[in-house]
Amino acid sequence: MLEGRQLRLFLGSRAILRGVDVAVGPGECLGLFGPNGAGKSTLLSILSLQREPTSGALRMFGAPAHVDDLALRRRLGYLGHEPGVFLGLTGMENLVFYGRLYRLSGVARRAEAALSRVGLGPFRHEIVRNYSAGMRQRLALARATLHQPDILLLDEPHQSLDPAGRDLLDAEIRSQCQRGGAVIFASHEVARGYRLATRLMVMRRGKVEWQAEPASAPEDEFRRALDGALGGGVR
Amino acid sequence: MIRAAGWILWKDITLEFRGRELLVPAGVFGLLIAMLYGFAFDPAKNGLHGTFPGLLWLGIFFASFLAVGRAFSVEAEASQQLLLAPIDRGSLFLAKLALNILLTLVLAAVMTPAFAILLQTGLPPETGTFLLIEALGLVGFSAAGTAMGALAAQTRLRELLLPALLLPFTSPLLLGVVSATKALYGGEVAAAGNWIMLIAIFDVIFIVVPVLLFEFLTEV
Amino acid sequence: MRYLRWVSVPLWIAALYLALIWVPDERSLGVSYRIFYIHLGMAWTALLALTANFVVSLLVLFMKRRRETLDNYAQATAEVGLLMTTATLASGMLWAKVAWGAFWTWDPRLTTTAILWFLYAGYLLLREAIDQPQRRMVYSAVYGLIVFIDVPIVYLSVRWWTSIHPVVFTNTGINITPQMLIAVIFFFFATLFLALDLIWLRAKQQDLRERLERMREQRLGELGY
Repeated sequence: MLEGRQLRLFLGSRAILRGVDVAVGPGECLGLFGPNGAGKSTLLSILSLQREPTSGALRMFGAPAHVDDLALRRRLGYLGHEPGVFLGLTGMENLVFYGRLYRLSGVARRAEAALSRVGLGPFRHEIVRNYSAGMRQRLALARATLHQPDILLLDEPHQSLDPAGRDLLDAEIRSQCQRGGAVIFASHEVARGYRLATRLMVMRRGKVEWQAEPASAPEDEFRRALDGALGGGVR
Repeated sequence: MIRAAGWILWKDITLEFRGRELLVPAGVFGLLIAMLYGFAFDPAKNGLHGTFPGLLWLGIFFASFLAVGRAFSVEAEASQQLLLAPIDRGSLFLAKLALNILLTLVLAAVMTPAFAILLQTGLPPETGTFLLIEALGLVGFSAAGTAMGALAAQTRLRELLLPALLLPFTSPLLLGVVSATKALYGGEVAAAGNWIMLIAIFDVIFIVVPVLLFEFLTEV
Repeated sequence: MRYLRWVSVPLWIAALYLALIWVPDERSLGVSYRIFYIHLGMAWTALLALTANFVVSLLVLFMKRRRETLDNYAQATAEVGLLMTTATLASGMLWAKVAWGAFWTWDPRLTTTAILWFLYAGYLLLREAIDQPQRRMVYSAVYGLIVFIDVPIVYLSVRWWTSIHPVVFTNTGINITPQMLIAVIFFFFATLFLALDLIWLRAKQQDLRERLERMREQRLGELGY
């Protein structure tokens, strides 16, 4: 569904990504791990068409992907570090607004359904400013999945969620894969990430250091690879 | 593009109604300028008809400046997410432009009568033409302000940079609206017409050019 | 390009000789009018440098390759353009004090030049305030384009404005003799070559700085940092 080859990104002379190969197919869930500054967020911002790589080829659904391809954006869902929801609108208004921008049919019905799925049903007419951090993140999750994207890109989605919210997020990710969609997520949650992903990727300094499938790599091997990356990561 | 812009504008107006983050501070500042001008220039002794157009327009520009400068920083973090939506980048610019035009028109609607009363000059003759000058002038100011605001919002200095970018840039506009208003006071409607043409040219160019270039700004 | 100095140094010597010694004093203004040669050369060069900035900004936005190099030239042309505009204003004000009796008048040319100065000071401030190189390149190019389009409107409005304004000082037209024209042309080319040299040096320096940073980054990568 998505394939990036030798993705590189330079900011001026600083290399952020130094040639990353990444691919996901239907039903796959790729977990990105690694220290801060490894390039996980940058990679996700390229895959979510927020910026172009300096070089490298990115293909989605069998065709080259460009940042100005609006039809392609419709098939992607992205959830960043920050929830990025409008604090002055209610939960419902946030979703309806996004539904309109995505030109969804039956926006109100969909928004209601999405809100009750993430457990915000009773608070849907409350201003988001009054939401807790966890509730805002849940709303952001509802926004990212409202248009039923084929590929879901999540940048440290577990952060700021309470335990119930984390389980809810994991269920959402699994159902996305069961539907035949794909997920790429970045995380610092080692145990949870290991259980969730169908493929593991450890990044360090803009490169892929290690990758494996959980089926063939026991958790302690994954932990050792990650520790190695973390050890030499940030100085 | 227009439809998406409409929804974004609806969102911005809702936010402004609830938060009142832009109009209220700018409006209070605008009224305050009128009062301070009154103290400083003593309209009872010195008739201010000659300087009134300049005072009024500087006041309106400075107050608008507050509103337009902040427009990009209201809920900036959430607005960043709009770039993910499948909408034309120009529609973001159009929506902000429409919001800024509305804000500056409301400010002018409050400030013009206040200036006319507090500086004891009354409204200019040919009030209809004067309203046209105000509308066209504020459209131009908003267009330039939206373009420069978009640039300044992504810099380290943010709104602090805006005066240095916007005020020299809008100097022909300021000359235009002040001179046109002065011409109305002097009864020279034909001269005012020339200036209105200049303002209109400014408006058209600085709506079209930024819409075309806005795409570049959102890609980096 | 490195031989530019071999042209510009003799040009400067010749131009200075022509303007300061060779041409005779002006009848009413005496020796003071000689600043006019420097002034005119600087003014024309400033306009050319800022026009070059516009062209480079266009190229930055619409070309796919070598954009970093072009961006270095955008910076250099704006800096040299602003420098020349400053020199034009300064020399013009000195001359105005002697010729018109005041440092500043709201003459259309003076007003336009002052606004031009602020517009390009804004350009350099904008560059200064953006850390991320790609963004700085694109944002300043967009600003450079918009500002350059503004310049004719500024000029038009200032012309209209001052024609309504009471005219206090009139520019007493200086009759150009062939001798003076030669000095003017020499000074123009002297300034132009100086500007080209400065632009080239500045862009080159930026380019070297970037290469150095890239090498440092690469070496750090090899060492595993």
